[in-house]
Amino acid sequence: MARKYGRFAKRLLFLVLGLLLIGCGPASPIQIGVRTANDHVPFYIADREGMYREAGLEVQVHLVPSNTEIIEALQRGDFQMGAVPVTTAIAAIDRGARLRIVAMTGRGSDGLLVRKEGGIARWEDLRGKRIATIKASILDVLLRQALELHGLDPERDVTLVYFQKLGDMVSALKTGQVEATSNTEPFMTDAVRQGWGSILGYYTEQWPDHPCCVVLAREDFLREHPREVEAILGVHVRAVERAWEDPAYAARVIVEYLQAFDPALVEASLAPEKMRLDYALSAGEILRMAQLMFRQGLLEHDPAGREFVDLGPLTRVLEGRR
Amino acid sequence: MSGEKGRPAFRQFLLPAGLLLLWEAFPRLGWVDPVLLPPFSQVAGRLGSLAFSGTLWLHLGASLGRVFLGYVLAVGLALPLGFFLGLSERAELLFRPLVQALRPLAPPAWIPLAILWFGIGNAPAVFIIFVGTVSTLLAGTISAVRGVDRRLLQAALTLGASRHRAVLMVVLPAALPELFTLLRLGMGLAWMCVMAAEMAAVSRGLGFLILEARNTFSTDTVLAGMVVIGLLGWGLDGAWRLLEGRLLRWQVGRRAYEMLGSAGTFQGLSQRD
Amino acid sequence: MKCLEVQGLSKVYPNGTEALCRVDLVVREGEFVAVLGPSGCGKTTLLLILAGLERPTAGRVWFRGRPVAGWGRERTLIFQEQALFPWLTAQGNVEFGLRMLGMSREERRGRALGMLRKLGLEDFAGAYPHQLSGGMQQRVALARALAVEPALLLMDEPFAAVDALTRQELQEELRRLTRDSGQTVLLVTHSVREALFLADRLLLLTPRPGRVYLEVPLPQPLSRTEMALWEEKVLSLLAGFAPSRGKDGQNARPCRGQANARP
Repeated sequence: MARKYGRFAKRLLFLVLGLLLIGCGPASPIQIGVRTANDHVPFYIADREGMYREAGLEVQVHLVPSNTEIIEALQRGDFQMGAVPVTTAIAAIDRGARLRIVAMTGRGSDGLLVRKEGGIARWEDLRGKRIATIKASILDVLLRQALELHGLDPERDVTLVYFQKLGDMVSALKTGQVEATSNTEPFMTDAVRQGWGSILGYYTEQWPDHPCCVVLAREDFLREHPREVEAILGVHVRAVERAWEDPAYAARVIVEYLQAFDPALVEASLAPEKMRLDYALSAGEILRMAQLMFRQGLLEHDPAGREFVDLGPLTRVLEGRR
Repeated sequence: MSGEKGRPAFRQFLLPAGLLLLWEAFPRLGWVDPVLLPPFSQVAGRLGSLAFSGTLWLHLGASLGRVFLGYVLAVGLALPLGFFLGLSERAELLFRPLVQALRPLAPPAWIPLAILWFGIGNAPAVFIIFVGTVSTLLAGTISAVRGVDRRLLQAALTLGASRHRAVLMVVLPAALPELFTLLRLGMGLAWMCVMAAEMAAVSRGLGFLILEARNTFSTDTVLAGMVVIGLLGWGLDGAWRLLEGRLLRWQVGRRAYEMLGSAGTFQGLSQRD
Repeated sequence: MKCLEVQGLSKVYPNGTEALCRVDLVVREGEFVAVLGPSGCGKTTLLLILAGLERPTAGRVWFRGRPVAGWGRERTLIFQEQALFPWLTAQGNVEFGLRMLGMSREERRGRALGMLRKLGLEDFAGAYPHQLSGGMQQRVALARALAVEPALLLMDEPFAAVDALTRQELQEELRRLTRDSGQTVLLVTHSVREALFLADRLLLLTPRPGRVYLEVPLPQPLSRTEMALWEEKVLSLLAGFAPSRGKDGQNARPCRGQANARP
């Protein structure tokens, strides 16, 4: 009797050990959630050219139209990494999400769009007017900063109208329901090309090269699979550089993946004065954004004590290339 | 302390209290990720601060106003039209395809059109609440009117009522119990449309509060908002029931009679003698 | 003096059911006529047409010499059950017709209470219909109808839904009330005994399609033994007409050009 149980116990032990070993191996495949936006073209390029496989990784890139859904999926563990606007990332971490910003994907590309015939030539002309924006988004944060810099109180001197979608805001502007909209590329260049829109200014005027979208990773993923994170970031850096070399190609990839817009428009919207794809980021600029958000009452906790960024993997990748 | 009356009152709170306890315990013990489900005390605290700062009432008022307006408009259209269609078979056949085609369209499907037609502000939200409620109210009114016993109408007519008076003085009161239930459910429906309605370019409202909270990952605010919506819906329903009990006293008694059987009636002359 | 005259009345429903076939009948002022027949012989349809609530497919109806063109309080209809307005008290119900006449509140109240008193219901004037037994409800229905003093009272098996004892009481009351006031009544029933107790004249109807195939004047008042004899006779007459049934239980004889049979 004891012998039979002994053999059974040994088998069970092997089974359990085996499962544990499997569990300790690389999570395969790795799930990355990115938004359907211009800034995230490095991911589209990497996916398209099989750069992850070349680096020895099994990665699935998911295109998701909603920032909130990406964060929620990250929180649930359905994604291990993701790419979202910097304000979304900061807000999520502030509320307790165990995520860290590990790299940049894009800078700039946000500004104020008005109607050509709208009679608004300067920021001061916005007094008393209605501006469409998305509450608590980067569009909103930078808009408020811009308004204040031009002497306007966002709560009293203008009427902010909140929408959920970028396209709805453009429609509202076009049909005259609002006089301006805080929006992003390529919608802005699109409106200009259609002949009815005019860009009052980009937020890079007040904050040159401001961060727009960043790459996130779950803290436990960073802890347990640091080499995989480095490999993915290595791919990301190469993809960004690829886009720098050939913007026309990047435009084509965007059109292919998003199945919207025409390549000429996309390429025009990728122009360096409007936006800049990038991988490098500094903890300082993230903190600056967080402090701006905190001042505007968008964060629960003082960002000073919080760790939003983990630059370890990226630093190692960049050093390894030298 | 617990007499005959005390016990049932205490018992009905056992289940909700137990659930609240679980809601507090699970996140705190880590059995549920507190980022996904904040503990009850945190949500209650958030609700308290929203109420104290006045934010809650601002959003609540905006939503209530839209719901009432949309609801009143829906009732104003559905009731008279429903009566007319309920009484005239020919007219109903004419309208039926349109009504049935519009019914399955859920409120969020109307958002793009609402914004296009009504622009920004309260109007599209009110419209969506209207549209979400009106077809159910219409179908229900037609059914209530049709459900009135024919003999009541025939009795009224042969007692000298004109068609017009018969509708007002007989069909209407006869249909009132079912209409009341319909109106009560309709208000619940209108209240359920709040979230969908406030996805359409509004800057205030409970639905907007919840949406914004989601986008800023304040799950405790989301839950607090949901609690308020739930409580308000419950309160409105209770208010309706009170009103119903007051206005339809005869109906309340009649329902009781139907359940108890003739045990609750007088027996007439034979008993008197 | 003819209160009601019906000639060649036919009713075919859109779905093809023949309810009535060339019905002829006359009701004189002050008469109590009972229409007898098994269920489904179109008796209710007949009453609805006479009340002006339905239109016949063929034939004519005259009321006091004028063709019938719709409903009115001169031809009031009493149903088997459930026709009292549940949101009104007994008094409210009786007052209803008087309201339609535009009577003042005091006059209405007086008349209604008087009517209720006649039927022994003055203690229940404030009760709602659901608080009253079936028999009392029918009393209220009767009071409500008589309050508007109709020229012709139409009754559709009014006591079929009450128990036997109450039924007897109601029949006695009805007879008393109508004899006293000389009310013209057309009562439809499938109880031979009830018809014999109440009516001056019987009309026997065939099953679907309904046709008056026999008219029986009754030498009222009838003693108990006379009633028993008459009952036997009428029952045999009813049984004697054995219709040859076609499909759907319809009478095999179609309703075209058929004269009413007479014994």
